[in-house]
This record gives sequence, structure tokens and C-alpha cells, in this order.
Amino acid sequence: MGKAYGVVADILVGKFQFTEGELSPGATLEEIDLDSLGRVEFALTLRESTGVPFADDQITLDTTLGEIADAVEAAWGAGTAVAPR
Amino acid sequence: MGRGYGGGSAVTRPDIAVTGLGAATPAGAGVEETWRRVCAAEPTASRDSELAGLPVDFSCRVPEVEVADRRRRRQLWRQDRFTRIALAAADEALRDARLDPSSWDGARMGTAVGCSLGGAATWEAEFGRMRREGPEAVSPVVIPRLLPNMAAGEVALALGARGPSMAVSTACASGASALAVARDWLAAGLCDVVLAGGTEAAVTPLVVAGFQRAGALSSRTGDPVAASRPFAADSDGFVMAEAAAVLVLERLADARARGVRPRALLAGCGTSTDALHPTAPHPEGRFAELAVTAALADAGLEPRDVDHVNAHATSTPLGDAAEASMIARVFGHGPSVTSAKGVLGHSLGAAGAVEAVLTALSIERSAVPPTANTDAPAPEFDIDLVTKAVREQRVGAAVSNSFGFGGHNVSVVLRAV
Repeated sequence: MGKAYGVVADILVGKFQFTEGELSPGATLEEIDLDSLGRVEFALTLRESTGVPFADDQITLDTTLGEIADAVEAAWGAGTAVAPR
Repeated sequence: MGRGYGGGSAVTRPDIAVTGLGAATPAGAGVEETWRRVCAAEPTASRDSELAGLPVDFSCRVPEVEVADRRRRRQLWRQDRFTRIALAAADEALRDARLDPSSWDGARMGTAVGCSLGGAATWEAEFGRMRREGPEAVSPVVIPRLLPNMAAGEVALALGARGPSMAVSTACASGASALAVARDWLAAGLCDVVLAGGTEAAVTPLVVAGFQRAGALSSRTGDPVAASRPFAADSDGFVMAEAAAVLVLERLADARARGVRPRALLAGCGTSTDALHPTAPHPEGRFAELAVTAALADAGLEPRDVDHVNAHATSTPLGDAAEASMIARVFGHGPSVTSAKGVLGHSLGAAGAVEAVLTALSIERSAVPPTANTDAPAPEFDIDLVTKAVREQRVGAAVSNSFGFGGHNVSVVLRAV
């Protein structure tokens, strides 16, 4: 996985105290045990970290970590957000 | 058996045992480290980078608390610091009481945690973000982080305590008020065990500026270690502190039935209100006296039965003078007096619980810690203040005082088992 997946994992490990082993690209937010408030906090933190302005409904509990990373990569690629250095 | 508030009623109350103690204070995580530091009279105040640029830039912070349990660590993001340190204190108190949440009847467990300001740091941080970045930047957990009752709520959640729970808020008397509430729950049979105490982590720029503007804080910025000087002639205000403390309370008969030796008895509680001024105490502590005499009557004791007073004594000239006057008047026989705030600073809503823990230890260990930074009380204070070194003395019964903005006065009486 690319740089965006690394940012996603860093947030989940740093802020939400998951271990790397608990995360995988195919796992949904619900499967890793985030609740609805955790989902919103995660999306907020992700926006701050990636510069990608996700809509509230763009990341749901059924979204996988890989799909989130892909969306971030796509936004960076399209130039709608700037990747962190 | 206590005789009920005021001593005038025929109410009899069961004896309440203190079977567990827990604390997270600026001295470190744990009751023993707190006791050691207070006995050594080593102040914990130091310069505080988060207060840089303010007229008062020092405080007493609780060192970061390690959370061993992985499930608990995953919840830290949604908790303000006052909740985290309350959880640490509750865990220690439960271990000390030899209680296991996995095997208890949660419906009989209560949680009463005093707190004055709640998640002040969360308020300030999130308000700043909203101003800078708009409402979309506000965390979805801002409310559960800042509500003052969330320490009680999260402790109950973590431990499966499904009996009564609440935050008690009487400013700097909150921790002691929580003990009084818990005692009443147990006496009324509402539950069998209560985790009772106080917590505070409100050392934020706004709160510090507010207390400073009110003239309540010491301004010894050049010498933070010497700033908190309870009962000293040259005291100039209190030092802001964080802390949490939790006591496990249960009816003495229940504690004995499960084979646990209590560390002390919570023999009586008394509360009163100045109803005089929002922040200033009566200059001679006339209404605080009502709380002390009510607590003594509740415990079935006379003033002369009291061997020791753990004073509120925050190091403010007005407050210390009022309390010294009251102690000298009520306790003519001159019991030993100490204040832990020279070491720990003033932890507002936690202070009453922290000091109840220390008072229980004075009873258990026949030792009264010295009042740090104060070599002798101001000449006009006619009290037997313990200074410089630990005084070894038998403490059969002791009073711990707590007073809060709003005119709230709470005294608790602890006794040897």
C-alpha cells in the first residue's frame, strides 16, 4: 500500500491506539471496532492529516481502510488536496 | 454508629469502612508515592510550558498515566484528562480493596466523583478550533469529553458499576462532597460499594488567568517550588494543580463479611453553606464551623476527641486566616494541623478526596506529614501546625476540611478501625 494507507494507519495507531496487526486494507471501520463517533473523529483527523475534505457520508462504518486510502490517493493525484511532505 | 446530621435527629447510620485508596497526583501515580512525597515535604510545583506568557506560569501537573489495558487505551481519544486520571485512581482503589469487577453484582456498585470544572482543556481547545476553522472542525466527542460527570460515567462504564452514579460539584469541596453523598447512598442501602472521590485537570490558560485575575493565585513566578505556603505569614495565593483520588467505601459489616480489613472508618460528614459571598469565606470561618460541628455530631464525637485536622489551607491569606481562626475556636485542645497543598498545590475538585486519602493514612500509620514551605504558621494563627518533618502521633480520629467557591463547606471525620 502507498503513502495514503500509511497516513490512515498512523492515525488509527497514534490517535486510536490500534496495533498495526489489527489493521488491514480489507477491514472496514466497523470491523476494527470504531463506533459512529469514532468514525467522525477519524474522518476529521484524516482531513487534517491529508488535506482531503471528506464529506461526512463519504467515510462510513462499511468503508474499508484500503478504500479510504485509495480515495486519498485519488484526491492527491487530482490535485484537489496536497499530500503531506 | 453515627447519629445523623447535626446530632439532633434520631437517625442512626451504619459505620462506613474505607477499604481501598487510589490516587493520581502531581507526586506520581499511586497512593504510596503521594504519601512519600508529602511526608518528604518536596513541592511538586514547576514552570508549565502551556502557561507560558501568562502572569502565573507554573503549576503542579500529574505525570502521564500509563494505561496497560489495550481495550482501555483504545478509549483514551474520547476522554479528557480529568477522566483519565480518575480511572487510574479508581483502578488502584479497587485493587487495594480486593474487589474484582468481573465477579461483582454491578447493580450494587455506585460511583460518585466530584469535579469542579470538567473538561476545561477540551473546552478551550475545541473553541479555538471552531473559531479558526469553523464548526466542521469540532470533534464529535467534545461534549462527552468536557461534561463534568464523565469521570463518574467512564469509571462506571469501565468497571460495570450499574448502581447510582453522579458527579458532585461544589467547587473546591467537590471531592469531599462526593464522600458525603456516597456515605448517604450506603446508609440508605441504595448500593453496597461506592467508588467515591474527586478529579480535576483544569490547568489551562483561561482557568489560570481567571483565578489570577481574581487574586487567588500565588505570583511567585521566580520561585514556583516555594509558592504554596499554607498558613505562612507571607503566603500570597494557591498553586493550580491536577489530581484525582478515589476511596472505596462500603458498610463495615459488609467489609468484614468478605474478610477485608478497613483502612479507616468514614465516621461522619457535615456540610454547610456560607450564604454570604460568592467567593470570599467568612473571615472567622463562622459558617465553615457549622460543617465541622455537624460532622463531629454525625460521628458521635466531641471536638476534644479529634487528634488531627487535615486543613483545606490553600495558601490564600483570606482562606487560611478564616480556617485557622475556626480551628483554634472549635478545637481548644490544639490538635495537630497540616496541609498537603505545600507539596501538591490545590487540585480544586479533587483536593477533598486526595486529603481524605492522606488523612486515612495518617490514622493508619500514626504519622502526620509536615506542611511544606511553612516553617511556622503566621503568628496570629493559634494552631499546632506540623512543619519541617513528619510528626509521629497516634491519630484515633481526624477531621478533613474542604471549602469551595459558592460558600460550600464540607468536613469529613475519619476514625481508626
